[in-house]
Amino acid sequence: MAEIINRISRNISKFLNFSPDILTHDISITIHSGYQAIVDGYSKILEYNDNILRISKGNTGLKIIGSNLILSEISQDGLIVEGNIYSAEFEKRGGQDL
Amino acid sequence: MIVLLRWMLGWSEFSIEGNVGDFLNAAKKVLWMVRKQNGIVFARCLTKNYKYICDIAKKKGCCLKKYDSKGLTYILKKYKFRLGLAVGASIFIFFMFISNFFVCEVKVSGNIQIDDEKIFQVCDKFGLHAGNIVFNIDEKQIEFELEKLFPQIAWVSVNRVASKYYIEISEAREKPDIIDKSGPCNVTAAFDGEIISVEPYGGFSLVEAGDFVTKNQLLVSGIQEIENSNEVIYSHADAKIIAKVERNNEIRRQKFIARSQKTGTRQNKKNLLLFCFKIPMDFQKIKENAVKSEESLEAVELFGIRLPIFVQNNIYDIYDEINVDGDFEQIRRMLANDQQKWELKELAGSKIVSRSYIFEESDSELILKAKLNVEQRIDEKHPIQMQ
Repeated sequence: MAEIINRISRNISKFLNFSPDILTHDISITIHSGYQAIVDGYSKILEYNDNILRISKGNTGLKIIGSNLILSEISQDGLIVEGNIYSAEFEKRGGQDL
Repeated sequence: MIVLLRWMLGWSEFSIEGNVGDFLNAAKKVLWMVRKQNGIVFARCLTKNYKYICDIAKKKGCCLKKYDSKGLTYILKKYKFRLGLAVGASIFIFFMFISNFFVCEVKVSGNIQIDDEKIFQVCDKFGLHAGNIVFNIDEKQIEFELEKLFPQIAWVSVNRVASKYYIEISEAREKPDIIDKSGPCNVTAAFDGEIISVEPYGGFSLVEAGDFVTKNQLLVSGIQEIENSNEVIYSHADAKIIAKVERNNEIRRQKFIARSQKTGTRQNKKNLLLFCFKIPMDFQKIKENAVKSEESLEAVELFGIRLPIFVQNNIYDIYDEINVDGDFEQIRRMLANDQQKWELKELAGSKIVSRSYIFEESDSELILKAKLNVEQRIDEKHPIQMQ
């Protein structure tokens, strides 16, 4: 059901030329020059150490790889990661939560 | 702002061991600065939330260890038995608060023609002076009085910023004389000289470059008679005529100079300094010819404790003016200064080609005779009286 609502929301935002995060509330990430990443719309922290941070929402996951990673701010659905960020990868698993 | 708020409320830093992922998910509302150092995860939370975090850690099977606590609350805790410090801080805050209700300083800006002293006198009359209570001051009334007393003021505003008063003045500019260009007039020479250039703008020019002219000689005429006819044309003559002119000036100065000399008598005046207030301790008035020569500050002590109150002792020397024979060189310099001022005023916009000064001495005066060769405008308009 959630997948259907998400798909409809995506189509509406595409049709109205909106930014997708307005209607879908998916995970979004903004990275500043590889030293700070602002993540929005997550629900769970799956793994954290100074080299890897894995977070998820529904069946979508996000893996941030770097060194000396610090979670400088955490809130209910957003966080700020600081450190040397090398890459950010999205993971998807159809129909099953991560 | 958030950092300041957290510092004011106080925060604790602790390490987390065990199932860190689950713990972070459960306590993410109240944590910040989560990091891993040497294999141990550290995090920070507000001190008031630490108990709540401990409960979560127990539920999730984690072990917490407090490392550090910082913030204003901890600093205050450190000094909680120092009563004097708290009393001193309270008194300081109280006086800071109270001092807001007293005038500390009055500043005047924007005045050129009107002296500061005259403005302060008016302000004094309406209670605007250092040390007075701000509730007694009616800014609108002072503005109105200043505008009424000084017609040179075009606009005035009295503003209060904390305990300082700023009087901003905008002076009126005098209306310039309207040049009448409609009436017929002649242009005559203001000085004797040799004409260098003639630029006629109206009328009929009677001279040209290289001509020698005398004072009051007609240079440009506003009247022209038409040949073979009795008809006369009147016009407004105007021209820019520059000529080489010899200008002379004579300045005199008395040989003796008024000099102030100490009489040997002294006057003492004591004030009490309390924060930014100066309270006079006696009612004697300082003489006009008195000059402050010494100033000393003495702290007031109560049972051997120095208070933040000082007694200021000012000593004034009384001077009398006497006439003494002036130094010849000094008077010469003063005369040269006067001459420079005259040149700036009288020969503004003119080119001085050469100058020579001669100093002469009479019984009581020293005289400077200046001779200058100047290139200046000599045109002077004179209206033609029509019958």
